[in-house]
Amino acid sequence: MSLMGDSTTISVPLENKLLAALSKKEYERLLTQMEYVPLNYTEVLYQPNERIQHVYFPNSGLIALTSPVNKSSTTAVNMIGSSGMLGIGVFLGDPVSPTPAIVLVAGTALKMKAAVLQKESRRGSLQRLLLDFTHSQLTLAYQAAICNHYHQIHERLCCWLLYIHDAAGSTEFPMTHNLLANMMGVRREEVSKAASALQDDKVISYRPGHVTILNLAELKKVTCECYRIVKGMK
Amino acid sequence: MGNSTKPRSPVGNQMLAALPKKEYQRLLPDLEPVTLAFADVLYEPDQPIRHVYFPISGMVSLLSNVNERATTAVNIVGKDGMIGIQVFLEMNISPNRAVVHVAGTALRMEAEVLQRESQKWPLERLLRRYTQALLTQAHQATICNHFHNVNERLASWLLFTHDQAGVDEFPMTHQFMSGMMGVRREEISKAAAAFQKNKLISYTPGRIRILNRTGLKAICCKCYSIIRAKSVTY
Repeated sequence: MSLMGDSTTISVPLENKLLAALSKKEYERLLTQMEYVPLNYTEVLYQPNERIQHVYFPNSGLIALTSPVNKSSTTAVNMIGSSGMLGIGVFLGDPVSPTPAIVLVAGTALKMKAAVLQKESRRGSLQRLLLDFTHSQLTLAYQAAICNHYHQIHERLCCWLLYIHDAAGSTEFPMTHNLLANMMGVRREEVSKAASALQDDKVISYRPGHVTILNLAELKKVTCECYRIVKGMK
Repeated sequence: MGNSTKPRSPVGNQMLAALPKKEYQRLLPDLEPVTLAFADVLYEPDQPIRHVYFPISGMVSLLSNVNERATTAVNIVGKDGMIGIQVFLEMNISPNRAVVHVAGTALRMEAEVLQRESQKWPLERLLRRYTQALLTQAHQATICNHFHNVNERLASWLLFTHDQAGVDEFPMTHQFMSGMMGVRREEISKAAAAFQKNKLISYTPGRIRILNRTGLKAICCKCYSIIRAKSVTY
């Protein structure tokens, strides 16, 4: 079930930080060309190698770009939350998504037609903000390359749980071992093993499809440095 | 391959070659030819970028580091692109170490000049496209670092190096490859010894000779063909 229900909010709060950094006038002009949509948990927004029709400015939630490696494995190569925009390829002039995008944490977003973004981002403050955001996506991609290669499964699991926690704004959220495994690029059994160790230590509790964080401070102690580095990027 | 090092295009660097002729000629006084020697370091991480480089030949690897000793390559830049994309993204700090992987030549430009010039559309369009290519390549590096074994990755790296070197024999050390691939030197030496035994390469301290390119292509991970196929088109 969607966390959002059929929300028909009239005044859209400026929760997307990229849009919030625009002048009020520019934001209001763009708002007429955007549509308020829910982001549903595990919803797939882009299929691989599909032409991007819409870009999304999340107000809340978290979207992961997950690259398929082979038939059974995927790994997250980047993520987009309320500080950015999904569909940066449209801005960069290559509007085909090489990687699928999947909603990891439910939320809402403002959705804009790709053609509109292309036109609007040629100049002005939206262009500058998207350059900034591109910079952080590139830096985040570099960090992911390091994290996937060097860090241990239990530290990476803590890191992912913290990203999800922060985006959910709650210590309780829907999540499966399978989805975590697909983000981390490891087998589900390895996630389950690391998760049960955290459960034994009373850091999290887990029932099928649901994680509750019991000890946030401990999670922050065990995570790899990537969590702090990525938080510091914003 | 022969030992021709002369660029085919009169401009040499593909990004500059894609500029309107008048634009290129206007930029020419700000482009200074420089040589890139094997293992030269162009940028250190977290240091300000003074110049950007448009390679005409050779290849530069961008390394991300976990700590002083553990590094891994996240991007490679050849005559298809530019080193110092952060300047375009309005963040004049390099997150990477940029190290010359294959010797060659480049045209360099002061960072301030690029910053000014990149606000003009023809160059901005090319830089946007190239940024997308770097992002896609970094995403592939995340996959490759994590999923592919040392033999597959070494074969891919030797093919990338061979492509850019344009000659069958080039300077290379196991230590250098270790820094690119983020694995211990001993593992590189072991993989290289197996390649040598199978007459794919011959190795003398500090130099590698490619003997059987087809054989390397049979071993390399698919990242080699993926990255080749996704090379930027302006």
